Amino acid sequence: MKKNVTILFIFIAILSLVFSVIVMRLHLSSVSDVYRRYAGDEKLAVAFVKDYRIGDSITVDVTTITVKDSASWEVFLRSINVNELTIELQRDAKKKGNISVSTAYRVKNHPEILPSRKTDEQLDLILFSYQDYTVFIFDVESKKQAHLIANYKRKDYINKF
Amino acid sequence: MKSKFKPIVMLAAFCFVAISCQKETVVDTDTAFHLQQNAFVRCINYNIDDVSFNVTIFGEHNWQLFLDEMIALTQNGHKVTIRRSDVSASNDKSRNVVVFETTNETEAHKWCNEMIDKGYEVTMTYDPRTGKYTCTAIGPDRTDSQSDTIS
Repeated sequence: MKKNVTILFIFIAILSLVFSVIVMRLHLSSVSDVYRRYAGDEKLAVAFVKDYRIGDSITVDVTTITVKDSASWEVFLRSINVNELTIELQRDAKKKGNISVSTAYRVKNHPEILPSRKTDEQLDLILFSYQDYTVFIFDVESKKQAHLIANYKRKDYINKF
Repeated sequence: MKSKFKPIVMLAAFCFVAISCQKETVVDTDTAFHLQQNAFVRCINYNIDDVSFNVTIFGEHNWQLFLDEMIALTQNGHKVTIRRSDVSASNDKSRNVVVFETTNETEAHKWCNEMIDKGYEVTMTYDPRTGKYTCTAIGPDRTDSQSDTIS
């Protein structure tokens, strides 16, 4: 009897483990490649939002990476090849009490790779501010959409802070 | 007709025809203002290495061409400053950086987006005390840029 209970518990444990792996795989298949790359880093809070709403008419997939403290913020920006002058601008803006938002294009799913001059290259829009130590990676479909998103988020930061 | 009046009449007729043949259209100031608001017209004062120029640019396509030329000059080490009535722009000669300043929010977004499309990393800074927007566009390394020469 005791042996049967032990076998039952082992069976339930294995079943739970298999079920957890299946759920985790299903979750990861519905998030962005950027999310998958950074989700395991304990120093970062990573989120993926499908169909994030911008204003009344635009929805876009976005991955957000929030750094937990100011010390790690500049380290993270350098790791995605943000220009040192941009980092300096944001630092100065913070000291003066100004609001500062930076934007640039990056190669799709690779926020650390600057685009080349190829016209058919697929791009993401990255947007970040020291105000909340967050980098947004928007999966944009066109430059027009990128402009609308950038305008919206800049105004949002200016109004909020 | 008496002969002494004939030259006067001929002169008057000549003047009448000359004036009628002029094709210049004069619009009133309200119409001119309306045209400028709705058509794409920019009156620019710009400096290249401390030499001042004035230009009026018609059409957004021509504006883009002008901007491309200015950027090419900055990439070749020239100091460029661009001014409109409410927008000023200048570059840091030692680096591939272009700076625009304005108190007009719409213009600020437009400038920033134009420079992002050209491959720059752009920071918009807003000073709540003065209401001024500064767009700082940082380009790729000089070694990556095209070596256009302006004749």
